[in-house]
Amino acid sequence: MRISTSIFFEQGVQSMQQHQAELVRQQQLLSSGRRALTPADDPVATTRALEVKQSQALNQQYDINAGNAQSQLGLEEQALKSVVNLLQDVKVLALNANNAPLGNNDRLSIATDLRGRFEELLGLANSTDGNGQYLFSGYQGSNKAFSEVAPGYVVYNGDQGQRMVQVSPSQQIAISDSGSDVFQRIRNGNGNFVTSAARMSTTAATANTGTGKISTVSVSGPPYNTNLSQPVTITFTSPTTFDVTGTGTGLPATGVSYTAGAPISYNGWTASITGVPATGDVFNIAPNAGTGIISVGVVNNQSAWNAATNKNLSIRFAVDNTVTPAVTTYDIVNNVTGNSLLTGAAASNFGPYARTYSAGTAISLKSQGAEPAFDYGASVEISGVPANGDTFNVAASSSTDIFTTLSNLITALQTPVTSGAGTASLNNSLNTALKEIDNSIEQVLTVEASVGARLRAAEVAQSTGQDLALQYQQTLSNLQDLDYAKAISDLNFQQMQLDAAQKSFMQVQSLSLFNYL
Amino acid sequence: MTTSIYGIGVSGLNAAQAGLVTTGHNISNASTPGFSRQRLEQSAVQPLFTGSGFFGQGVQVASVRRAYNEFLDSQVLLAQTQSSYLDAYNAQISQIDNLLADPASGLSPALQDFFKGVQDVAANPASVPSRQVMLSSASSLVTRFQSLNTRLAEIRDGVNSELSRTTAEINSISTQLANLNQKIVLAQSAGTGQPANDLLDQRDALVRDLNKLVQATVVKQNDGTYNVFIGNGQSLVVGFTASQLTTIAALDDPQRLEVAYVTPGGNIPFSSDVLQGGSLGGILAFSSGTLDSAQNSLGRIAISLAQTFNNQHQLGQDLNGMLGGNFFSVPQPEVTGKSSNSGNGVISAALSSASALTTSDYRLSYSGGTYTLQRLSDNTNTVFTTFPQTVDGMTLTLASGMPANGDSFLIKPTRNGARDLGLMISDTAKIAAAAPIRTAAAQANTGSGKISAGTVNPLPLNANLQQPVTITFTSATTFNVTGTGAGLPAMGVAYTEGSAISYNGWTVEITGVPASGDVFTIGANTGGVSDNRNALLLAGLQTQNTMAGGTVSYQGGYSQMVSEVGNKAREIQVSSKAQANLLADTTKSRESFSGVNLDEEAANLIRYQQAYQASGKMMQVATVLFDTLLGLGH
Repeated sequence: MRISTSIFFEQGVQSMQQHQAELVRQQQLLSSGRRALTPADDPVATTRALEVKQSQALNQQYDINAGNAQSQLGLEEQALKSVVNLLQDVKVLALNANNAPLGNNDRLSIATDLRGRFEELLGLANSTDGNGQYLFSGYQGSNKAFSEVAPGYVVYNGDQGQRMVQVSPSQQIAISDSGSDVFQRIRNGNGNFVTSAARMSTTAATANTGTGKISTVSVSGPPYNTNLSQPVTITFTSPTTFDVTGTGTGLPATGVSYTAGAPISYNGWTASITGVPATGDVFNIAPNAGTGIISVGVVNNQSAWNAATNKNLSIRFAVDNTVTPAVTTYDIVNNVTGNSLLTGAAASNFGPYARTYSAGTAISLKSQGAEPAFDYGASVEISGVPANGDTFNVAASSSTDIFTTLSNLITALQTPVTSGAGTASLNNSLNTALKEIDNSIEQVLTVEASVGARLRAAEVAQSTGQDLALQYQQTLSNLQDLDYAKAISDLNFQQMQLDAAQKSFMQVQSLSLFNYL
Repeated sequence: MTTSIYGIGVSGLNAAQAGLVTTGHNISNASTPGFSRQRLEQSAVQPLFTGSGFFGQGVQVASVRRAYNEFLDSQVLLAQTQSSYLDAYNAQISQIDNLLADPASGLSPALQDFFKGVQDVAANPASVPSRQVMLSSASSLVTRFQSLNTRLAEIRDGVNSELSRTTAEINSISTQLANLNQKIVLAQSAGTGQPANDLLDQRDALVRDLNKLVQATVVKQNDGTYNVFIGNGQSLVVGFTASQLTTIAALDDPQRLEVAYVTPGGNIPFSSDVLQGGSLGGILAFSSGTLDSAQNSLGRIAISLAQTFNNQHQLGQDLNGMLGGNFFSVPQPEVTGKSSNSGNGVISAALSSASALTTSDYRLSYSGGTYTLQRLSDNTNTVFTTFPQTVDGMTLTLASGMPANGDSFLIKPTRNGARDLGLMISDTAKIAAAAPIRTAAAQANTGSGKISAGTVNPLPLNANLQQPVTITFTSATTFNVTGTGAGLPAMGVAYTEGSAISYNGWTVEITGVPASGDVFTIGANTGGVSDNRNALLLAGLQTQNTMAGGTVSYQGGYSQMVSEVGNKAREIQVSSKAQANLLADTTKSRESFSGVNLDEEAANLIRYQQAYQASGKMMQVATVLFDTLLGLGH
């Protein structure tokens, strides 16, 4: 084949240029340490690297988030631990107040101590995080979670929101608990129902001649009216008017017109009178006068309790003093319908009632004998000596808050005990308080356990993330990093090639016939 | 007899001299580009008949011809035009390839930084520094979009100036070709039909140069001229006249230059895919194939980010307790009516759904009462007669007037996406990190029912979103919903644990066993500065598949773009290399036929020298013979 001389030169130069270009490229690879200089060098790896980098960046973010979550949850856990310790101290104080033969002054000093604890608790409930955000105020981190708007009466200013943190692509962890969940949403009583001595019980005087009947009272609060416990007497001056006497706002009131069933409200309680009272008929509203103490009660048939309706009962006592020994009977009144469960008829203000009371014997909230059928699946015990008209309430549990419990306890301890009834009232209050403190501790511990679980979840997420980070690093390195050993050997090979091209070109181009002319 | 010996000697002397001249010409042009080696065509002179037979009369030079093979030459032309096409494409696309090469300067790091900022706000929703970080990173994301777009726009400007330059060069070559046609015809007619070798070489070299710029076909005429055609048969050179090309702004896209054919009746633009091969074809193919789609892809990411982020942002509540506004300004599609439209119709296009956007441009044409919307990437047509029409995520409306038959409009939904992206928020308090509603279970509830934190339904926002609403259970299995809003109050709604309860544009779920009388409330999230629910949802957008019909994330969209450019660049690089080898091979074949080999010429030099010497010797012998004859008389 003919070889054109210019092509011979051109090819020689071209191949040297090609080798040089390869050498330069190899040098760039070596100096950058990258496997691909532009996306065109390896489109698949470049694209994949972009995606891995995003995953890596996200993973780093999740790691930071999990760290944040841990410090937040750590703060909350610390606060909750302090709350539990504090509540346990409170419980010890309450037990002391309950057990020891203490005088009014001793109880006062315990109350003062408790007041200190109350304020400490309020401080804990208003804990803040490093950014000055309140831990327990839900979404409203800038609002103080709890504030004492009246002595002993604390309101929650936050909401029920939980702040969340993303700790992995698929997992969010709550880093806060709302104050209402920690301090407020505490079941009172035994969790199913709550027993209490009625704050005020109602009695109709035995000498009444009309058919007027007074209902049990409902009490509004907290906060409670300061005159709530003041005895009040309603005296009918005619079948259509009555006077109200006692201590409190608007009292005494005279010539109040009577409408059957209309609410009569004073001092923070509400009652109603039905029927046709006669002139001179008297109704009393006063705290229990006897020494009856009601237990927290038990549910022995949960499904019956769950199925029951109208879970708002009063146990009302009547004492017949005309016989010796006096006979105490009781009625169980459905406060919703106003009927007696034992007779099925409208509840009567007068004994004797269908069941006879014997101290310390369980009162079953289930129909017995000829009574109309009802079954609450529960029983309570009342000990001591209830007086005529004394009323005890059994109501479905609802939520209470730690502050109310504490403040009720303090009030109970501050109230001087001057009579058997007073002791009973104190005992009833202490029983309730102890049960509720237990419930509070349980509630806070539950939240604390959940915080602990979330802390662990955050830790697990973080360590999983760290493993992942290593893998991403590895993948990225595989996708991007230069294999130096190969690159250097390539470089040597290309150097050799260029060298060979140059030498051979020099030798071949010197062969010319013209040299011999 | 002696005279004929002389004559033969002289003819040999002449032929050898001609041979030496031709060889010398070859040697001196050994490195002239496009030169074809020339050789002498010599033959024996008509012999002289005598009674003793035919006596040779010496040698004559018939012609000097160049070693030219039309087949080999056309092969080189084809390889050349394809190679120049790929080289031009490669030169352009490697600019984008390099732009995307640096991992620190692409879109990814800015995108990641931005979402890091969002996450930071999610972690500290009430913190002003965190919010400032998010705004700053949003601003640098916008700048990054814009700077990438500016670079692409610069490349587009480069394409336009390259087009103008190439067109001017083609014009120059076509004029030279017409001149050479004339010179060759003149030379050959003067030279009694002998080939004007060097002029022919020059013309072939020009044709090769032309093919470097654009693919051209050559038809050789009987008079020796070349007629040259480009595109699908447009004549560039016919005989002694050359036509001119020019560049004009495209009728339906003032930013784009088109190559047009100059005629006395005006400039006729070539449709974009007609001019193939050569650097002109490469630039045009790059512009419509890679550059448009790269810029559109980038724009689509910007638009999707703006719209989806805005949509979620509007579902939130800012630090001032107001509902979130627009975070980014959302770029809108661009519509250009063809400047030759005769109707007065004005079409407007608005973005409807970013997730349905494609990276294509569209052409809307009107004819006989029907509109045809052509998606230019795959030529899919959508035909309709009325407005508004929503196609591929944009809504078209006839803003005013009425188009005439044959009018057309170019719609570029995403082209300016990256350019027009902007940040709408500068006040840190305006970042809507919180959700506008919150839920609560009443303290007095006796059941175990729990209400979820609640979510806000997608846009449009309900006017009663933040109205307080109360859900009161009337039994364990039914509840009433009271408050202000459509469908409220609702009485006796059946309760199914965990099923969605949706009113006023929010959705909540209640789980557990609520008791009769239990109350749940939904209302405004007043003071919810520590709420990060919306920030979490905003951060979640980073990995959500929000683009291309819900198949890729923002990052995925960018990866797709990088992958498209990278793959195309690689393809072009590889093809370009292969084509360069092919070109080298065909050139080698052509050169091995037409090129000068100096050794060969050296041999010829010796041959003709010896022939000359021999002829001279012959004349010496003739002289001696003649002298012998003269000496006879002495």
